[in-house]
Amino acid sequence: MLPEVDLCLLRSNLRALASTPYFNQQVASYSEHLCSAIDHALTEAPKLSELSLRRLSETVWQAYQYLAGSISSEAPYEVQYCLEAALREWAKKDCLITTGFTYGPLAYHFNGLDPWKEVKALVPSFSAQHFDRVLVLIGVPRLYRHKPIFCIPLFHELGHFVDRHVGVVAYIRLNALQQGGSFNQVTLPPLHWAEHFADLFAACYVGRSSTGLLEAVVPNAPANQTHPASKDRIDLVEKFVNGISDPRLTAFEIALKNLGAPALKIRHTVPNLTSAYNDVRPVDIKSAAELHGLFDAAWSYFSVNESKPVSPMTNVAMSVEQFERTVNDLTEKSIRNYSTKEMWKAHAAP
Amino acid sequence: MLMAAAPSEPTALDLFKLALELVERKQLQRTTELDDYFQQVLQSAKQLVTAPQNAAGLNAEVIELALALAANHELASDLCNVSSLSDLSPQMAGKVLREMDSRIAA
Repeated sequence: MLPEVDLCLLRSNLRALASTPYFNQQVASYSEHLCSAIDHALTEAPKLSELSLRRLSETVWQAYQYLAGSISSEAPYEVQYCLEAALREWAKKDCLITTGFTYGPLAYHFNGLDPWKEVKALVPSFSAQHFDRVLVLIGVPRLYRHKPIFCIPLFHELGHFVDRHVGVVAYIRLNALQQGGSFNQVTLPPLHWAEHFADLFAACYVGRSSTGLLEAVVPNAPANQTHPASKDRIDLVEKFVNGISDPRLTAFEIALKNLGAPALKIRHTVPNLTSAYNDVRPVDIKSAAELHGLFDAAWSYFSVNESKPVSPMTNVAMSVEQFERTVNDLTEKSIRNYSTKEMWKAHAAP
Repeated sequence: MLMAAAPSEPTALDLFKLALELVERKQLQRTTELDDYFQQVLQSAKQLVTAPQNAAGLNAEVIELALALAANHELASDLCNVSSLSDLSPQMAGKVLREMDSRIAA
């Protein structure tokens, strides 16, 4: 398709999205800025190179996929709320988390594109250059969009964003090269470093549940070109959570320190939800640390009881489907209650 | 991705490489944001190669380019006397691109 045609179609679809009542204000603002950039590019189109126009079209296409998944009625609001809380400490710029939907099993992903950076560079003399927001593009199976404990891998995907945003793995490799490749840093594939960092970032917030899905689904997956073996990943998270040293943990620690970034450390407290969930009540979350720890607690509650779910109130066997729905609904409701209270406090503050 | 490989994920250096591609194809508009971006990333990366301890606050693409320069002496040599896109001929831009791709694929 001709880039100009696609850009016109994308612009009208972005405008339609931005005008829905279910659109997050920040997402709407981002979409409007994209539309303005397209307006400018099309006015200037005869002056823009064919390559620039094509690249602009590809960039907006990608952004559109994630913005379209961020309509309030579709987006995993509760999980995004928790991810935003986690990202706040690491973000060097104004960041906006968006979720695109996938339709395959375990098809979580991170897309490293920074659409606005590309748009600014591709459309010279565009007047809205002061706008500078980084779009975080993560993908989640649509089936799980309102299943918070199945969205735990999004913390791992956010870890990939933080790695790229801060430059952690690239710095580790640079540092190792400059020091003559000490302790095998260079020979460990860079993508393995990236996976370990994403696992550890997630473990800061959601503890052992960061690798819970790996343990449940592919515990014996061997290492491949892009991913370390599952066992290796699980072991490193276990070491981190238990405070056991490892050269890889040391390398991350040094890199983050030199980059002026926050350290990898446990940032969650696991709330005791058994009594509340047994009574089919949401748990009362008291802090941001408990908010993150809720994922670990809910995942444990689900994993322990999944094989023989019994209704705690009636002591009668229940289906896995009923049990899954109950645990996810209670988790979603617990997060929503906390977010509502926090927003109330923020608005009530003088 | 959590478990599977993504064949062509965007990298932090995509925009830097786009600038080179525009020069190679003779489609670059001079005095653009892209040239400013290219200059800033290249200059910061060269400084970082000589002083990796001064990394605080740098953008990821600067660190990735510094890594590419440190790992590939031919690339470093090609960019040694380059400070802006106007210093590059289309042929040299293409050569630099190929050097970067070979390094990234390695």
